[in-house]
Amino acid sequence: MSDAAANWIWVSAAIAVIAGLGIYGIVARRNLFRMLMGFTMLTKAVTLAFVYGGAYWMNPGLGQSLAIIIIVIEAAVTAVGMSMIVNIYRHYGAVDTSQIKRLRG
Amino acid sequence: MQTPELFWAMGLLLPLFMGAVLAYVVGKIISRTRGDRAGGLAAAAITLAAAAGVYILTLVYPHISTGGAAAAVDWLGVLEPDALSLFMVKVIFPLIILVAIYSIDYMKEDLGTDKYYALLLIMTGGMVGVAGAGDIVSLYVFFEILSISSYCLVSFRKQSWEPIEAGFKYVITNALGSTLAILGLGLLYLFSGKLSMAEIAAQVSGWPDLPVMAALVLVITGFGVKAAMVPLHFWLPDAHSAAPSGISALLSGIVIQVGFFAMLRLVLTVFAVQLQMVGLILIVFAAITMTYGNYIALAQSDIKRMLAYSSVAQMGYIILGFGVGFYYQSVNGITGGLFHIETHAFMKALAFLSAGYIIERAGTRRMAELKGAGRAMPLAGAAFAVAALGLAGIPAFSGFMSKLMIYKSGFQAGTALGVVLSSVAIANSIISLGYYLPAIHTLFSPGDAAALKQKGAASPAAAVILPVAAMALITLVLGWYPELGLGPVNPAVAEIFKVIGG
Amino acid sequence: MLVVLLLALMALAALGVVFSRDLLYAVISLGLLSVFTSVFFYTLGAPYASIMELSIGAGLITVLFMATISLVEERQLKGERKLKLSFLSVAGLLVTGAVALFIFTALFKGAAAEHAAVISPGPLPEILWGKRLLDVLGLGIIIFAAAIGIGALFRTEGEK
Repeated sequence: MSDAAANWIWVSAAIAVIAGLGIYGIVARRNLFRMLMGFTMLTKAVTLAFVYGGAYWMNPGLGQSLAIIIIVIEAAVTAVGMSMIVNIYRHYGAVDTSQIKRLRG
Repeated sequence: MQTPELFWAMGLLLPLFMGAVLAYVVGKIISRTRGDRAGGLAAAAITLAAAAGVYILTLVYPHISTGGAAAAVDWLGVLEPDALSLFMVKVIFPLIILVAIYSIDYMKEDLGTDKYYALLLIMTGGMVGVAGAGDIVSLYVFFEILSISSYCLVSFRKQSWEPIEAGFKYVITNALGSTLAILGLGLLYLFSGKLSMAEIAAQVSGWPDLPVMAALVLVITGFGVKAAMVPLHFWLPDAHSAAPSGISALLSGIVIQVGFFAMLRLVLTVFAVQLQMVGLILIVFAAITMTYGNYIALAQSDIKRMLAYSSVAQMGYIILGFGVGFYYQSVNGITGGLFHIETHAFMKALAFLSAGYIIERAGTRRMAELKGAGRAMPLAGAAFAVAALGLAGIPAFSGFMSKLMIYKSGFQAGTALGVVLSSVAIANSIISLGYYLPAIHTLFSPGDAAALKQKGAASPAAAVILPVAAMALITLVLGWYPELGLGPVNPAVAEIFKVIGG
Repeated sequence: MLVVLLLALMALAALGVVFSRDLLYAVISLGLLSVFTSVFFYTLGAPYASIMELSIGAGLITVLFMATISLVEERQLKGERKLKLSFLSVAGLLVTGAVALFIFTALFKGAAAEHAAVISPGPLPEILWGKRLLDVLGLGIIIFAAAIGIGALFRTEGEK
């Protein structure tokens, strides 16, 4: 697959699309799970950038190690966020921001 | 402790994280056998011992501020502590120690406090790591350590709805922020193939390149969320007012400043070529941030929300100091910004701790219902008054000294913009009196003191008096002898000016 | 060609996560996105990242989501509004995508010709346990912090 590195335009486009959709998911969707999924997607775009950067700059080991670090952090943050959602559900019986928003921000 | 890197890893990070594990395990074991309260106390003791021990270590080994030989060990290469890191550490530790002491009394009604103290130590370790990181991924890793522990601390009192809802908001916005920042860094990696900040800096001289610009925007936005710059501040008032007061003190006093510090670190190394432009961006954000924060704080009826918005405004001062410093190469600006981080940390923590004590006793956060609380609890009321006057920048309090430097830097710039900026800052100080003075007045006006007195009858515990008195003392002493506080600031300023080169 | 196909599939899965009507489909799309990403990593010569993405991204996180959603599920799913793909949001997405593409194009201008990819696993264990040891230890701390934090959020002693 030596042409993998030549596909940079497509990879970049994919990173942009996934990151953009992730941000959209966090900002625009009302369901708390959906927001958390948006965050997960955003980190996926980041790992994509690092792994592809590693392959591109002929340092695949480095890119991969960074990707692994980011994936683990993503899992930890997702787990913490998820337990907060469960707590919210226990209090409100809902996981939609339109039904739980009491703080004025 | 041959090199600063080794010292940072072995002397600071290792004891803190091991202390956290130990605090949790010992706290758990003791709470099984002797009850929850004893377990919490044991965890608190371990936390205090670890933090105090490490703090003393940093004071005894001042040579790390000068920077020794390069690290001989490969894995230490990700740390690059310098005078700036040392400055942060010297602000972080006293604050953590005082808050930990305060928490002994404040959190005594809560259960499972062994986890609270362990998270507190992990948070400290995260901040120390951010301060010393010399590599973008390490910076991110330590920042996430800090973030995850503070997420859980904010919603620690999960029995009521507010900490939980604010907690989720805090998680999602801050996770978005740090991910945007790391996306920017990923972009830089794609662009340069380098990871160390210094190496990227060498590569990034080809400015103004579109990708570098995009990375800069992402990094400033990402850490801007963490530092609560105004369009991105919306999570702060909720999280900071919903957290337990000790944690509010830490979040407002140092955690958002660490967010700004991380941005500063990247700006100073990676984007050093375009420091002037960054300065201009910061100036614009700073003016908006302080004005908006003060303006909204005026309308708050909840004492903790008022303090939280005041943190937004004070971040504006700090950012303004650095913005002016970068834009005009002004020593006073940088010194003022750093000094304000230091003075604000203690003032704001003092405000939150004393307000937290009053709230706990009075059972309400509404300003109107706290009428006369200062009379019923004179010590806490006086401490709050000291903090509020300091935050407003009244002479003879530490806040005035640091703000004065920031004002000076604007006037010394000698341009219309500088004068306007300083005037805006001074005007903001006057606006902020518009909510601090009424707050003090409410606390000390004759109100329903009898009922409050009944609730707050018991005199405060030593664990409350000690940290509050220490912080009030620092606020007052630095107001008369600012040079005492400038000791750790000056080498850090010199470190920054190596980059600015003014 | 395989790469472009994979990337297109990833983009589709990402669309599914944000815009699917049922929360369960969103989770499945998220899992699929992870799987495609993992395959893509493999074709890039990054087997370690690939296996990590597959086990944590597609495995652990999907299971976590599934479990939590089934815990919370029922009326809520109906509460999810149908997405109205308004003209404005589509236009906004398209513009964002175009800008991003433009940025990335500028990013690699000229550089593409100079560097060819080297497809080898790379000295990953050496890097992770050598230069990045501190970060790996940091990951341990993060997992510990998350465990304690989740323990604190679910602690039963705190209920009054």
